[in-house]
Amino acid sequence: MPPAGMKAEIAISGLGVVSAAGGDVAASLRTLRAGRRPEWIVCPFAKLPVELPMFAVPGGPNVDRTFHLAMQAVGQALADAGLDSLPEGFRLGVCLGTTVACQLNDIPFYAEYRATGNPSLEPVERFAAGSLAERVARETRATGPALTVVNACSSGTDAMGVAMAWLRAGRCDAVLAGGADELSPIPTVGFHALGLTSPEPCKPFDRTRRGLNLGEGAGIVVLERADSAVRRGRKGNLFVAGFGGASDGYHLTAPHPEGLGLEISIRAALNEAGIEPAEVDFVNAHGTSTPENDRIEGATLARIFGAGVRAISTKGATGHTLGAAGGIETVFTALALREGWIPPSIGFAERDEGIPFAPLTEVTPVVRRHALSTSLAFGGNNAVVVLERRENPA
Amino acid sequence: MNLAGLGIVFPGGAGVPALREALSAGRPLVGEMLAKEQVPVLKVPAAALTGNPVLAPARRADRFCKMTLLAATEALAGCQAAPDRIGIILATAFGPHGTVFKFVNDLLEFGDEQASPTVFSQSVHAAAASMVAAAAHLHGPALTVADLAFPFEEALALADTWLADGRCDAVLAGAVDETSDVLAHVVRRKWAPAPDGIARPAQAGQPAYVPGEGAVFVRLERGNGPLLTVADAPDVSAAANLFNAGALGGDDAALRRLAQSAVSAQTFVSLLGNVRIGSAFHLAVAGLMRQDDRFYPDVLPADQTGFSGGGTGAPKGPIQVISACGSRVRAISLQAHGERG
Repeated sequence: MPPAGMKAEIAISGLGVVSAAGGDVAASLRTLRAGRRPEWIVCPFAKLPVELPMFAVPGGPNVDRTFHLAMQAVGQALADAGLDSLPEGFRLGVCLGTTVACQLNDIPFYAEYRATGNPSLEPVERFAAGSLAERVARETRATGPALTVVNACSSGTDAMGVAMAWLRAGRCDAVLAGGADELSPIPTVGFHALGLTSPEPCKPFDRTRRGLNLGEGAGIVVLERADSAVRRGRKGNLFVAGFGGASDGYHLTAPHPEGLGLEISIRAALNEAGIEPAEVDFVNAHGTSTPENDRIEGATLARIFGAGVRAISTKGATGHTLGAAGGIETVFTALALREGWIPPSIGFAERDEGIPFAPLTEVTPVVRRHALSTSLAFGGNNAVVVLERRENPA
Repeated sequence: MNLAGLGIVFPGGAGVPALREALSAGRPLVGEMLAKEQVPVLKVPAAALTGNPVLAPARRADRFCKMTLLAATEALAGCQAAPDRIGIILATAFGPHGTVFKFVNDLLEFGDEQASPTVFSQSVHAAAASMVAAAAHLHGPALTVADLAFPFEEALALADTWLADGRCDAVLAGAVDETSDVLAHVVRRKWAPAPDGIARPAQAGQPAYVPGEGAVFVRLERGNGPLLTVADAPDVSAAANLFNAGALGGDDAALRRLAQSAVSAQTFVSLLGNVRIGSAFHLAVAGLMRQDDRFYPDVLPADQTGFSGGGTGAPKGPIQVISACGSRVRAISLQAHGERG
């Protein structure tokens, strides 16, 4: 345990990811470095007057899909961390974000209930088998705490904050943290009703952006107390240095016009990391490609980091994966620090004069140690993580 | 951490005075029969969700949001912490599923093009906590968590770390769940409805349920109010033990085994209905017992609950809320200043 008053350091011991950008870390890196938009599909399940592009993960089961996506990334992350089989007495926690998997929203079930009053209870039994985190904990034989975060689009990043709190409180040695979500008719129709979807592939921060595309996937990091990683002989150089979460406290659907909650979150995360804005190399922004999000997030980032902020959005490669987004984007941010290059922001072409900066559009070398990943959610929730790469970790 | 504030909405009404009144009366609430499903349910009375000025920001909101806003606002009263130092953690098992099904129903009835953005917004689990933050202009972290086992206990444990880490000076930790026609249908098919409309623990291993609903929020701070702790293992030698029995799909047999060696063993499920988040309701009861320094009478006799009952006078020592799910047990303990746990 660290001395009293000193916060335990938290290492990133493993990474796992699956999205339209790739089924694992290596494939994702190829897509991100090439800066090419992966193949997308037209929404197959909503009856709307427009065709909506979506970013799907090829293959896999349709039933219980979020759990399977999560387990795909969990398996990768555990293998990367050398935790394929857990050591005796090792306390692994599970904290995962999701939006679709937390709802008993099976349309065929409800349609049958409406029509016959006697639907098959199979979807209910599946739901009652446990939340996403509870099921992943059972599957991985994790004995630490398990919690499913359902904070809409910031869920995956919020899960990182919960995991950090558990590790610092000594509740476990490591945590599977991140998020998973599948494409589903409910958010598709809902976001369309809110006027937030784009009929063309998304263009984060671009002047002509028209909205978001939904995506699916999972992003998982193994966060581990640094002393535990050292005991296991792991010598990683990636760390999570700070977290900040805050509410806009403003409106149920509209973001705070000045990005108040985001600014509080970023400053809290920087403060916890013990760094100044100038020490941040780049920001992997939420960048959904909706007019409001990108304008407000862009202005807030420029206010804190200056108009020269180096920022990207990776949603041009994944779509908006909702509860998975924070997990996937934390993995991508960690990979950028590990590889030493920032991927280009796919979809951006024209500068928006209402946003004080243009995102990076070419592969760009990393020159500083810290990077941020931001998440902004429906309802005014904001969450930010600061990641760090150390050349010679103690 | 310490219990500094309490707010509640339950089938007996809204507010701590309504809970005190129901506890003092010592009578079970009887569920109203849902004609469609022939299942009794204990719903929060409509009068409790209308007319209160606290609900002005939620006048077009669903029941889940309204219950949340009422309970959280009551728990927040008197809080001296700055708005950016107050966090919210809302725990739920099923979330606003009535609103989710309303959204789905509208899609089936009117088509995808006619989907309501308002209903969709409120079907998102995080909407209720966001409404609390917006109504009170809070800027601390706000988190909604959903699990079937111990979501409220995990919310309390997380609140403790937020306070210990200095992330917040106060945390509103709550649990909210609602009932619905679909839930009643599932209860009828999967278990059985209670024939007399009174929610009880499972009898001889056979659950007969009255789905209930409500919202409970506690305001947690450092050094102000009774000490609250969460543990993996209960200490049944506590002065008072409140068992979260009759939780939908819970493990009443495990609770009865623990209760056999308890000094006092009560359950108040008959005032809430069968829900997953009953530990929060029982914590509210514990908070009142602590505040009023008295045992409240058993609502049902021991032969109907399987729990021996409470003591008389004042509980001299910690009051504990015990829940079980599967093979796991969790306990929330409430101690007065200077008490030994």
